[in-house]
Amino acid sequence: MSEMSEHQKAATASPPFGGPEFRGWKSEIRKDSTTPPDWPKKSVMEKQLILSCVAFIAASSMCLAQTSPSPSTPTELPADATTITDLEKSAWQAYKNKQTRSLRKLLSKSYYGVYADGIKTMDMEVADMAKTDLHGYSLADFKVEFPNANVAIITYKATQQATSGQQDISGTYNSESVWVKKGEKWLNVFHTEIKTK
Amino acid sequence: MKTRFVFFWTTLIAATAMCFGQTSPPEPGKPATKEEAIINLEKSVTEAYKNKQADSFKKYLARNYVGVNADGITSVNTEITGIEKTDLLNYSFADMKVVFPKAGVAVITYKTTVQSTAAGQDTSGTYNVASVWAERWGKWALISHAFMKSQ
Repeated sequence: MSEMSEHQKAATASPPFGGPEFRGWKSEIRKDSTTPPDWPKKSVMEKQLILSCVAFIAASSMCLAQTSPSPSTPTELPADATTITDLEKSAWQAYKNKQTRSLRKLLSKSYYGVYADGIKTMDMEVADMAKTDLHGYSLADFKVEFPNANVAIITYKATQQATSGQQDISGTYNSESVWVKKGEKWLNVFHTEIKTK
Repeated sequence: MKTRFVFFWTTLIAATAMCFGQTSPPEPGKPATKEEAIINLEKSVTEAYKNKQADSFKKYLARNYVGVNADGITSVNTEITGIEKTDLLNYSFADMKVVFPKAGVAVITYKTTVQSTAAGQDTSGTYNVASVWAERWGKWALISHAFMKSQ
């Protein structure tokens, strides 16, 4: 006993977690052929504790990443509002020119448009475009918000001269679109136009 | 060495199990689907509005919330002010649909029929509605709400 190091003495006198289950664990450590014969027992336990802590911290980081699929980290700068404004203008121009492919490319597959005459999917929106004549329009008072780095909300007033079927739908509308970044591409997931009072 | 490996993997597996537990709904029994969770949030925020529970209502809204209606573009503050002026006597929801264009983003659309007054005017009728919810650090917040009287 007198030849034992301070570490060995401490480890033998008071095991850190006490219980009988730990004795079995310690006895297995002794059998470990990689442990040097004079390796202090507490050091092995400390190493194992550190190893388990590292594993736990690594797993916890994975947890946090899992529960926050779209957080904006400080290093992620929000996209320039101009990008979103330009995309919105592109969608209007594609609609005016009845460019089906261009419009579809800007819309998400799960797109919804909400209007007074109904709630429309992408296919319904494209079908509407075919029967709508947008003779002229102007867009004003653009505002862009980024709830997070992958989501943008754009609001503005749209004044249009247009007919849909036989109906004149000209007027000024409070308008909004929500754009979501998928990979490197922004897609429109939601659009609405509400005629102002 | 073998024992250390066993211990390492046991810890890792236990922690991973905690990860999965974290993403599971907290309530036992039948877990709500993602769609049901968004529908429940939409119903809860509407109920808070109806009951004029401004504090509770505000908790559902993102700081940079944007609303759109025939009167204009609204923010959190204008929505809170609107609660005071509005009496939502009754409402019902129909045709609720939820899509997730991307993980952490939900769009819900539906029709609502309301009996209500705003600033003394009868605003009852059927409205087409859409809300967009975004998840941040495991919590869903309402980022956009649009409603218009259906024709």
